[in-house]
Amino acid sequence: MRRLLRFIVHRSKEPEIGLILEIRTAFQRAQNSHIMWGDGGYGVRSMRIIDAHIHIPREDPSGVGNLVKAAERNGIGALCFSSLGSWEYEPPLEACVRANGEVKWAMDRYPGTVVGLCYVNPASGEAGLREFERCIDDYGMRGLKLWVARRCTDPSVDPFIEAAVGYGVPVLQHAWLKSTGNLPHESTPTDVAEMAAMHPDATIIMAHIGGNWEVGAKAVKDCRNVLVDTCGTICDAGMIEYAVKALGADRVVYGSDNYDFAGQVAKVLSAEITDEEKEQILSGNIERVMGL
Amino acid sequence: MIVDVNAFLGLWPFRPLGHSGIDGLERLMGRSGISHALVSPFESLFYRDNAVANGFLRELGGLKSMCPIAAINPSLPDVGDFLRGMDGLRAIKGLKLHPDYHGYDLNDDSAKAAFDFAEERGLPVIIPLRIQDERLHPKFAMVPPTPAKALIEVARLYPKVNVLACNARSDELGDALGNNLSNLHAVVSWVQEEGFVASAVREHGCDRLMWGSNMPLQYPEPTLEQIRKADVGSGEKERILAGNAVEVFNINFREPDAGPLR
Repeated sequence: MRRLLRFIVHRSKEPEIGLILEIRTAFQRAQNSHIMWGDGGYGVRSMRIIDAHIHIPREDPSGVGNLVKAAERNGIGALCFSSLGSWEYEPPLEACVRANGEVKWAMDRYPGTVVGLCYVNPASGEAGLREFERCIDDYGMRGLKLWVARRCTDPSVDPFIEAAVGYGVPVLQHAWLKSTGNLPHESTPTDVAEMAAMHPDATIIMAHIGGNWEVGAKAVKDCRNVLVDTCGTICDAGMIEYAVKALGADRVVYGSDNYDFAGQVAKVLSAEITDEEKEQILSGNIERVMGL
Repeated sequence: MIVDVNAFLGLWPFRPLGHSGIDGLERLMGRSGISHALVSPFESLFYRDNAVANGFLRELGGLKSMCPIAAINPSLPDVGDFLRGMDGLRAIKGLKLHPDYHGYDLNDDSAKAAFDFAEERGLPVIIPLRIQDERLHPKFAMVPPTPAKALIEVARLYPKVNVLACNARSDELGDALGNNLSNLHAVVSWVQEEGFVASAVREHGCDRLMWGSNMPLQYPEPTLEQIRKADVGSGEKERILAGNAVEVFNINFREPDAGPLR
């Protein structure tokens, strides 16, 4: 592209056009230069990396401070936190309320850095809905986190998705397709696709690209309201490229899920995609979806 | 200098890899600054002939950037012949065992014979606990991981053999390091929980930590960056990324290459 632009500049008989193209080329080069490798950090010039999927540390909520510090060291400017409390699979409402309180504490302690997501067990029904509304209205949280308490196709989930649509906030939905077997209420990528079709106005972020990423990306390919996040232990070569090819870079967001920030960011930076696509994944898409 | 102690060559049967083969590995090494990789064949996971599975080692003999590691299945009847034949392979820098894929226990006599051989020749033994996340295995080919406990036991049994635990999770590496066995090394070749490297160095020092990529199944950068960006001193990073491996594998990079394998 650069070569082509230079060629046009040299061939142009209009000096003004040449100058404009020259400036544009230089601008593009400068834009691309903000993502780079090296010991001195990622060299992020203007981009604020945003972690779309991270949890308050289990049994140590105050560990948020260490995570914020480590995130800063890795050029991550904002973290979208939810708390799963004690990681009970089907927590009672009180446990979710406590967990959301931890997130609120972190939001107050690190304003501008910690973005909050509300966590509920959909089986808690009306009372759970009130908790979600409280988290958005009173706490200023920006999304809903659903884990493994109920399959996302379970009817108990619907009112929560509709409430999220009403607030215009995204739903971060855990999904995995495990050959070792899923938990009883654990959603698969196919479940997420079904949920997305039932709620076309909802914005859903499917966690972990569905774990089994080839299946996950393909399952939600046609659901334009589903994005995927890149977090978790799976760092397979070609995973990010596959998701970008199947879904488009505008439907992939970076997340850590509390795994090493440097490693999780490097998953995206080492992918064989363009710098513009990396920037979308690391920052632009989640900014757009959460209105950050 | 960066030494990768856990790299593979060959074809992976379950999905296409963008950077397989010597050229592919060299590309990944070049872009991430890896100076040397200790390489074993994927074929050894699946073939029933140790010599055929490790045939590629001959190709690596002349390459300065890649050190051959023989990945053996000690439960196969040809293992004795193969190991005796290895005496002629001067460039071999270690053995790799896959008890998970080959279905034996590290306490079995066959495994012990491999360790006896390693002890005699001063060769380190690399043991990946898994090759890929078990949740991603094809259903017809589920391979449970090798327990870290088995490595601790065998390292205790063979104190003169350096044993490397690869592709382990944070808790498994913690178990390996927690036993204070000077010959049991933890290789960071899997994405760990945030802060793992720094806390491992704080608790156990850096002398038993190394780095491996698991490439070409994984890109090297995510695990490499865990070390590069860890909250530890540059001297400690240097030990983890190269110094410890150079010592354990007795690699003298200033020497001319060991020459083609016979």
